[in-house]
Parts: sequence; structure tokens; C-alpha cells
Amino acid sequence: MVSAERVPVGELAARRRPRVVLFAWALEALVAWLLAGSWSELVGAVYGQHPDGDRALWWGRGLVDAADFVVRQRPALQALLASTAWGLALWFLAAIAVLGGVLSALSSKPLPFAQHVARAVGLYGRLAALQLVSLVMVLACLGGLLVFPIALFASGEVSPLRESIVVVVAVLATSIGLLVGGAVVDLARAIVVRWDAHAGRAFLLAMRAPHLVGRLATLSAPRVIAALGLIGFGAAASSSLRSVFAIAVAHQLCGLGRVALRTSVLARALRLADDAYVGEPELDAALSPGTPRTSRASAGATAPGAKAS
Amino acid sequence: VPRPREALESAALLLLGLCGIAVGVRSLAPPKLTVGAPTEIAPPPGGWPAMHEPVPVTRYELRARLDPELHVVDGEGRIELRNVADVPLRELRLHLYLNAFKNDATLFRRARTAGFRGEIAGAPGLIDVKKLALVGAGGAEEDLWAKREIVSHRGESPQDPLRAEDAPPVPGSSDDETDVRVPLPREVPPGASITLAVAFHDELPEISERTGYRGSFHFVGQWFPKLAKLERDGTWAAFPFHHVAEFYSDFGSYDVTLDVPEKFVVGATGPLVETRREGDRRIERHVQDRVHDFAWTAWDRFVVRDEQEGAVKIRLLAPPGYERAVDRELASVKTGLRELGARYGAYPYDVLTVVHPPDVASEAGGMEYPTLITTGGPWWPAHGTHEIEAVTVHELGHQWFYGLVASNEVAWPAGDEGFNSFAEQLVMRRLVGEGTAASLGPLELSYLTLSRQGASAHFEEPIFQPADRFANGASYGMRVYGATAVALETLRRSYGEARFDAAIGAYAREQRFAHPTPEDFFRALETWVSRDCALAARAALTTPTTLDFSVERVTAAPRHAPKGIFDRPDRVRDPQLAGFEGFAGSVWIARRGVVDLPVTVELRFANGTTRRETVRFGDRAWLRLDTDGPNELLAAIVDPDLAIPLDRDRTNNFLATKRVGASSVTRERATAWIGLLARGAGW
Repeated sequence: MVSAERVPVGELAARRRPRVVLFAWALEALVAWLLAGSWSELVGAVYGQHPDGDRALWWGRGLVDAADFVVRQRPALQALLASTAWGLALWFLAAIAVLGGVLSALSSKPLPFAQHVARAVGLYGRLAALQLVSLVMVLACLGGLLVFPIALFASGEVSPLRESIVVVVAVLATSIGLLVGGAVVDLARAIVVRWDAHAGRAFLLAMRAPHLVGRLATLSAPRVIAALGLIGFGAAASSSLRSVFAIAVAHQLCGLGRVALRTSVLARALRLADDAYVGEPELDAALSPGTPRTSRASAGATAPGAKAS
Repeated sequence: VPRPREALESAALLLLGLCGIAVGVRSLAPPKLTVGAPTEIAPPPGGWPAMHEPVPVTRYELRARLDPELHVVDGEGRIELRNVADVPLRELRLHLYLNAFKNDATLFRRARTAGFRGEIAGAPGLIDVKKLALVGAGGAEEDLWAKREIVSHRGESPQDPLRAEDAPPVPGSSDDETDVRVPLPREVPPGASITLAVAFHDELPEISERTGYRGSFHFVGQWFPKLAKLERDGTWAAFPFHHVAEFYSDFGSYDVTLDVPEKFVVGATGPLVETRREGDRRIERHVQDRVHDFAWTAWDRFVVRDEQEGAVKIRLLAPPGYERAVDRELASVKTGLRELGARYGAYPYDVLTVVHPPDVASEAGGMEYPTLITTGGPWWPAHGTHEIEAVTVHELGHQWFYGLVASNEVAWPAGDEGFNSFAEQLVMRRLVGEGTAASLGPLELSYLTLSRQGASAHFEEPIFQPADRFANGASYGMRVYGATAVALETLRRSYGEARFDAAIGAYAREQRFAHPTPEDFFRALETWVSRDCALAARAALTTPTTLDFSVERVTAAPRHAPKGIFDRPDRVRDPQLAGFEGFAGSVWIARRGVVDLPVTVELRFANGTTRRETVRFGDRAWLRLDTDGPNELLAAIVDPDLAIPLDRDRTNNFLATKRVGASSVTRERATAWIGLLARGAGW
């Protein structure tokens, strides 16, 4: 493992690492652009023969041309859908390393790019385990969302009032579940990266700090809503702009914003990781006695586990 | 406790997010429903044809009592019939359509084909005729029911799994009791009338399709012994109750007195002319002339909303909490009354009742009866979809194509369902714009698009054929509803929207209170559009329809003066001397199918210029267009304005001499959407 000198808590912020944000966005945009290539080629194989290109597919006429294209190219589209799904699955695995790299870059003083990659690779197994936990949590929350309508319809006649209550409660409960679950996993990820802890231990530590999880969830909520808002702005750009280039720029700016917001949440998780780790041997050993807790972690100490191994 | 700066930052992000969500939702919002002025439809040369009053053939005077606990209706009354045939009448044919719900062996259930309307489940239903008697002078009654004979239609329909020679599924019982022949003791001369006394007992089925009960909700259609349609030649147009077709009757008047528990709200055909309380019961009398059926509903939880559109009183009945749906239904009905009235003649009745059944009885939704329609949909309509509007407009349209232009639904269902689907799309475009099926910002999906795909995805059988001849319910739905609308819209765009609209308007007015046949329709097109249009319509509607235009080849090359030996003294001309004389281009266009329509071909040239030509194929399968001039031909596009939605594949409608078009829009959108997924699936 590559040693990494930790950034003091007070300096942990996404805005201090613009290159990290840009790198993560560029990587994500590149993956999307590459996966979109096959779709574009398939459309181009047909509409390359049309002097107006594929514009007719997307605008006007009640989507008549798009419907014809989908029907005639159904087998190819199904194959493309499958290959895109595989591509995204591979990205899902690769993104764990990206996550490790981003957390590492946020948590540490600037290192050469290769060392961040090496750290990310070293953390991969533990972050993958936490990703699995995250996936289970997401599925559980979404599964829980389905329980509501099933229970509703099983109970007999549906009334608008009952439906409204059930929908609001279901959406709220699922959102809170996803937010809290996400905060637990993010905190655990931060502990893993910042203190080189094992995944299980980090997860338990996060679970044992409900106040920190609550704090992180509270800090995440406006950022999640802002990210949704950026999707809204992106949709509005698609509706109102006619130039493909302008739409692309607007979409990518929104994408960059969403990456920045996510990085900001991760930075906050890293800030809270020290508090979650208080009392643990590694931290006690790393910090000098008598230093106030809030500033001890800010002293730029290097965790033993984070040294080369 | 968050620091002030952090709190401020969070608040700003929250505000940004909420604004973005609001902006996004707003940008994808469907157009607001507004009830505007109708389209101005110019009459054909010579003006609109006169609208005739119906020939009254029947008069029903019925009294019915609903027991909502047992879900039974007991009825009695008188039926008057005037022999409008040219020959004496020797028998009656009665439809007892509630018997279609009696058991699994009825034609309705055994020949039920997949793909059209909902599930059949729950308690059965039936109608027991207690009395059918001929009323003589002085009121004496002569029993007719004892000599009745159930008419078997076993094996007549290709959809029927039973053959004519098969034994009944349960020995000793009839498989289908929906069509009954009743001999008359004496001939009824042409022009003479008879009066029948009837008494009957209905056991309503649990709602599975169209009619019945669910909880305390009751929808009562096809509920009384009803005379079949008497034709001019003295034959009865009588049919068993079929899964996909049921309507064809004589015009008459209905005077129906309904007896329901006091707390029940009633909706029925015709205006309420009298109401009174009798103990804990309420008695309502509804009277309507110039109609050919009567249906009603009763529920103790209906919320009533009364509105007015011109001279028409609109009554909307819906479950509690459905205000948003009712708003949309009201806008649809008002727009429809205006638009359909302008196109096909004003709605001739004083009342219109719109029933939105509760969710649990949704199978009663989407049906049409004279002056009463049922609609349906969720209480909170999905963002951007227009299901509620489409169903409401469709059922309202049936007041014209079914109610007034009363074609035989069994013999050619396209005459009402298909024509009505065509009319529905015109009204929907007026109401919500191009996205008649769904609007999501700039992405507008039209029903025409769905109809085109559906119409070509199933059996390509003729559109104008009897309902029981279609391969299955899905094919029936797609051909009768979808393909008719697509074919008529194609004719409309190909022969001029104004002329075609005027022609359909003239047909609807001429055939008001009549029972037109396909020939009447083709004659109308020939009269008010052109013979050519009528021929195209006949090909599109009566033959297995395939129509596909394609550009097969495009060539362009520089043209030089001719080379070679043209006379001996000069020998061979020097190719170097043959100068450039412009470009020669050719386009080969193919047609699959027999429908002959004017087709626009757009030629695009390398210098950006465009030329359009209109061509006809006649009986040829292909044709070639040549260009000759200073500009190099680049590409050819057949039907660039989508004048021929019947063309089943538009992806082969264009071709270029080389790859000229970009797919940058697809690339951008795919990148944005996959980027969203990558963000969700990734870190």
C-alpha cells in the first residue's frame, strides 16, 4: 500500500480538488460516449442515407419515424441494449476503483496520479465489499417500495385518499432509506480509505455512529436534490435548445455538476470518518495525547495502516 | 449543529435542486387542456346534404327495479314494433344478450379471442324472460314465448371452436341463448304495428366486460329483451352476442322508469323527466327519442358534476376523489362536442352523461350507449399521457359513428369503431396537439404512430369484414381501430384535407339516423372527393393491405457529349473533346401493394437545392425518375411530409448516392442517458 499523508479535516473539500472532479467527470463522460457509439452507428447505418441525418427520428410527426426505426431494427437494438447493459456492468465494477481513487485523492495530500491509482487498486477489495452492501441496501429499499402498492391492492378497493397517502409514505420511506443507507456506506468507505480499516469493521463503526450517519444524510440530502435538479435543467435544455452542440454542452455541464456534488458528499464523509474512528487503536496511536479531538485529525498524521505495506 | 456557512450552502443547493426539478417537470409538461373554437370545416360544393329524421320502428316502455344486494333487475313493459319492411312479418328475432354471461359455453366466452378488452371472471349473469305476449285489441294478451326457438350459431364464426355438428358442451342445454326466434301467430302487414308485453328478470354478472356489478356499483347494459334490426326485405339482422361486436338496432324511442334505492345516483340514456320518492326508493323516468339502445348505471357513491356545453347538459358521474380526471374528461367532452359537431353535424340530443366507473369496475369503462358514455383511467392521470382524454373523446365520438351513423357493427365494425378512431385522432390533435398518446416535452408520441405499428404488426386481413372473421382480438383491434384510422388519414392527406373532411362531414350528415353500408361510404367519397379517391379507399379497406414505398437506387454521374462511332467518315470522336454537359441522375422507386395514391418525391441536389415531383404508380411496381442539369443529384426522399401514413416502413423511403447524414442527435442523447445510468450505476 502506498503511504498517504492525510489532509487535515478542515481542508477536506471537493472544491480544493477541482482536478479530481474534472477527472471523474471526464472518465464518466468518456464511458458514456464510448457506449453511445454503437447506438449512433446503428442509427447512422440507416439515417446516414438521409440528407437531414437522424433529426427526423427525434423531432415532430408523433415519432412516426422513430417507431419505424425501432420496429425494423428490433433485433439489432436488443443486441445493443444487452451490450450496453454489459458495458454498464463493467463500468459498475471499474467505478469502484474510481471511487477509491477519488476518496484517496480527497483524503490525501497531492500525490502523483500513479500512486492514486495504486491506492485505489489496493482498496478495491474492501470498497467492492461495501459496494455489495450498498447494492443490497438499494434493492431492499426499492423492494420495500413495492410492498406498499402490493399491500394496498391486496387490501381491496382503492380510494384516491388511500393511494395518495400510500404513495407519499412509500416515496418518503424509500428516499429516507436510500439516504440513510447511502450515508452508512459512504461513511464506511471513508473510514476504509482514511484509516485503512477493513470493510466489515468500517461498516460496523459506521453503524455504531448513528449521529454521524444522520449528519451525513442531512448534508447529503440537499446535494442529492440539487443533483436531481441538474437532471431537470438538462431535460429543460433538451426541450428548449435546438442546437445539438448546445444541448450537449448543457448536458455535460449538468453531468459535471452532479459529479461535483457527489464528490462534495464524499468529502463530507471523509470529514466525519475521523469522528467515527475515535477511540480506535490506530487513531489513538496516530494522534498525540492531549490534542483536542477536533484538531487531532487535522494535524496531518499518517495512519499506520496507510503506510506502505 | 451545522455551521452557518454550511447551512447556507445546503439551503442554496436545496433551492437550486427544487428549481431544477420544477424547470425539468415544466419543460416536459404536456400542453394545457384548453377548450377552444372548433376547426372550420367548409362544406362540399353544393353545401351539406340534408339531415333526415329517423324512421321510428320501435318503442320501448319499460319499468325496472334494481335490487343492489342481490344484483338483480326485474323489468316489465311494452314494446311496439312497426313493420317497416316491404313484406309481411311472420316472426320476431329477439336478442337476450345478458345470457352471453350465463356460462363458459356461450359464444361470447367460448369464441373469445385474445388481445381485446379485459378478463372474464366472477359471477355469471342471465336474463329470464317471464313473459312475451302479443297485445291485442282491448288489451288481451296472447302468449308468444311458449313457441320460441333458440337460434344456434354454432360453427358459423371462424373464431368459434365448436362446429355446427358438435353436440352442446352440456347435454340437454343450449350453448348460447342470446338469439331467439319467436313465430308470430299472424302476419303483420307492411306499415302495421304490433305491441308486445314483456316481463323479465335479470341477474347481473360480476363485471368482466361492459356490464354487471362490482360491490354496489352497477352498470346495466344489454339488459332487456331487445328486438333485432328489421331490414327492408323483411329479414332480421340478428346475431349472437359476440366478444367484439354487439350493436345494430332500429331507431326508436325509449321511455324507461327506474326504481332504485334512494341513496343511489342514477345515470341513464336520455333526460330525466320525472323523479319521485316511494318509501326508501327513488323512481326516475328517462325518455329519449331517436336512439337505438338504452343503458343505465346506479351507484351509491357517485359524485355528480353538472355542466353545460351549448344546449347540451353534461352530467359527469365519478367516484369520490376523481376531480382531476373529471376535469380532463370535461375538457375532452366540451372540445369533442364542438369539434365533432362542426365536422359531422351538431349533437342532436339535450343531454350527455359521462360515467367514470370506479377502479374495481374498470371493465365497465370505455363503452358507448346513446347519450351515455363510460370512460376510465386513474384518479391521478400519469404525467404526459392522454389516456383519459383519448377514451373520453373516443366514446363521445361514438355518439356520431354508432349513435347517429348507425352502421352494422357486426357486419363491418370499421364503420363505427374505425371511423370513430379516425375522428378521435382529429379531436385529440385539436385538444392536445401532435402528442395524442403522450407528450414529454419535445417528444410527442401520436396515436397515429401507434396505430401504424399495430396495424402492420398483425394479420394483414381486410379491414372491412365482419367482426367474427378477424384472426383474433388483437388483429380485430389493430385492423378495425388502428388500420382504419391510418387508411382514412392517408386518404385525407393524399387527396386534400379540406376536401376529405368535407366528404366525411357530408357522409355523416347524409347517413344520420340511417344504417349505411361500405358501398354508401365509397359512393360518398366518389361524390365528394373523386373516383380516384374512392378506388384507393376500396383497395385500402377491402383488400389485405400492404403498402410500402422504397427508394431502391439513386445514381448521379457527370454527363458528357456522346462518344463512339456515329458515322464512318468521322470515326471515333476523341473523348477529350467530349465536354462536361452537366449531371445525369436517376432514382428507382418501388411500391409493394395495390393501393394507388399520389406520391411526392423530394430530390435533393449537392448544391443544396431541392425539387419535388408527384408521381403515380398505377398498376406498376416501380418507376424511375431522371434528372438532368447542372446540379448533381444527392438523395431522394419518398413522401417527405408523411402524407401516406399507410406506408408501413419509412426507413426505406430515402437513399443517397453516398453517406450524407449525421447521427449526432442520437450520439448526444445516448451519451446523456448512458451518462445518467453510469452515474447511477457507478461510484
